[in-house]
Amino acid sequence: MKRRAFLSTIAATPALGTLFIPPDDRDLLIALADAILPSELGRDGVRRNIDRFERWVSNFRPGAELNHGYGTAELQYTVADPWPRWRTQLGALDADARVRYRAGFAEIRREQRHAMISALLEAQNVERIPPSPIVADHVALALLGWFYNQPEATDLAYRARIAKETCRPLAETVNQPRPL
Amino acid sequence: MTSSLVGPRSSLIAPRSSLVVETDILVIGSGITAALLAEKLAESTRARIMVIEAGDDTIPLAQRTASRQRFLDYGENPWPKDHIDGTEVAGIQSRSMGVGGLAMHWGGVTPRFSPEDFKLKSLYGVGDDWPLTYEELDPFYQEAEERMGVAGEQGPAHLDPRGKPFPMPALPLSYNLEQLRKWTTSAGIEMWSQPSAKNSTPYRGRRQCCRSDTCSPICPIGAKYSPDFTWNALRQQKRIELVTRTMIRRLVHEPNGDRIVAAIGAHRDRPNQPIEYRAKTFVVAGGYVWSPHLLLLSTSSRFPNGIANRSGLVGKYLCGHRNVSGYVRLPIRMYPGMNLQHSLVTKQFMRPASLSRYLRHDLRVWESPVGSQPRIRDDNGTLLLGDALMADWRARTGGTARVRGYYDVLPARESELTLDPTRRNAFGDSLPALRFRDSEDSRALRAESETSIREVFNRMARAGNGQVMNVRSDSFQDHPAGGCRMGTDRSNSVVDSWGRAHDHENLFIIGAPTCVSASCCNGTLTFVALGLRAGVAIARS
Repeated sequence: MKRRAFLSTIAATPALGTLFIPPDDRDLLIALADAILPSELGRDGVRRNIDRFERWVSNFRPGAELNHGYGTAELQYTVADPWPRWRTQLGALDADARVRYRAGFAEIRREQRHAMISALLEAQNVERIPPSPIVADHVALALLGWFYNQPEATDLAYRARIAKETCRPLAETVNQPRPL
Repeated sequence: MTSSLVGPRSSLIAPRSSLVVETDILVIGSGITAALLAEKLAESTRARIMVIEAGDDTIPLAQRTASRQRFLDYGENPWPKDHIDGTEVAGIQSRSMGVGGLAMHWGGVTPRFSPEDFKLKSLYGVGDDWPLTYEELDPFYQEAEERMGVAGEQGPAHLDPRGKPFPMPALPLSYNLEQLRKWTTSAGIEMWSQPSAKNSTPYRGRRQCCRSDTCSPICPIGAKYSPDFTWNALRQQKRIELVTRTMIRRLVHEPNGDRIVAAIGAHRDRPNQPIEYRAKTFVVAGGYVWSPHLLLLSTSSRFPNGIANRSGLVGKYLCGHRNVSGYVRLPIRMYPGMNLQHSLVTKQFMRPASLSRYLRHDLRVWESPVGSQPRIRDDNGTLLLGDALMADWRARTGGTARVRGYYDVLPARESELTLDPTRRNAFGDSLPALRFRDSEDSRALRAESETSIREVFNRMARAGNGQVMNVRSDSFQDHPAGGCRMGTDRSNSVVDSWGRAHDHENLFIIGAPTCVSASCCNGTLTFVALGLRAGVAIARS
């Protein structure tokens, strides 16, 4: 490949893996996750999940063709990048916390954050965890939808190393999954 | 051995000067039946084989891990460019049009039809008999299993007859499926590991399955068979030529006879430059939609209703099966996600000894997370977050079986594919329109069939102190086939049992379209077995 063609290829390739969430927003995301995800994840578990969620957000491609597997002839595409909307929602949470508690969302107590999110989701009559963050109306639901689709969440719930959708030795399938 | 490019020259057939290409065997379509037929022909003949595919090539194996991850993370199509825009067809089961066809997406499930399927009229007085028996097809089932690599467990001999063992040991039952097998046994139903084209051991250079559990739509490591492996090997050996992005639009017969002399098509990037493919033998391998569609488009004064259509049956007798599915909540501790796409299967209900009214169905059982999934509101409507949400989930982790029975639906003659005068593709050719219709027998039996399957679910639930949930009957016909059905009577069928068109000695139609009926289980293995059997006649020709 000639140098010019190579450079144009690089330029046209989306910078997948590049993380772009600003530190302040990241702090808000961590505070949100800490309020709505299980506490047994601990500080490290929350940060690890936010790292992965951030990667998910960063690698999202609007307008990408969705799977049109067996049983449908209809083509559908991913929606517009949800991050700007979610970022606005994080900002609104922060502003609301400052009005209610005179401190930012990331600075108030877990119980206070939990209460704020509960009130917000009650007001929206939320009925279910979205099957994917893509269809979440609010960043809190996006985070729930993302986390509860992860193999880690299933393993936590069953307190067993199932490791769904990961490459695992076939021979071990006959055994009851080992406890965590 | 390559086909010869004769070059641009005056054509006898195409409307203007065409590029003319000559070969011995021209295969139109590159799906699973075409791939395994081409492999067989490459081994058994010295013929030049050219394969024409309207769609694009598929992504290489090395890209599939990343492609799968984007499917998991964002729901993106893991097979970019696997269809052609402008070929939307109402009622179709898939948009796939590319190298490997629908079997790039498939779940790799490979049951055989049962002996009864081939003689429904004789045994039960419904539908039609096929022009061949299960015993005649058995060696070709075996060949199909060996070529693609099927892992299977021999079921009880009276339910699961076969001439030779499976080429690979069965995929082991997961801990979950083993629990479910104990349950089905207690309900009086004998079940075993579903035969699958997934490697229980390394096979023909492909890796052993590692339970990635996204077999459909994509196996990231190539443990599930897909036709691209065969095409890649054949191309590497230079035994075939596979031409992509080229749409065959017409088959043409000799001026004063019935032999097919050419297939006229064009590259999608050069639609105004016709290409004339001349061959000694033509094989139409476009599946249940695009095979009859091509024949119907190929009209002439000698065949005003289309090539191979003196019987008027091209596009008729489209067949499939419907299903009743549900979930059974059981007091069994299971761990959803161990291998969700693998299942138990029985043929107990496919092989009834005698029947007062015709009803045959299969039965499969999977592990399932349904009923054990996280939720944001409990039964009282209380919002759950954080620890409360996890505690609620934990309290509901238990065991759920997904159950499903496909039941046999026999087609009416008017179950048909026709040319839609209102919708055209980029070349200006009419697109197909599909309309499935049950035969009178099947219409009359539909309610009873669905009730009977629901009763099987209820009986199973009672045997395990379980509860049936979310039972539904789907109205679409799965694993569609037909449209060029086989038979011995030229007035009542399009091809003979070898896939040879009654009207054209050098035209073969292979796979799904040739089925007389669609049984009550997945059809792909049968489509391939029929194609391999056709390969015997094609090689002779």
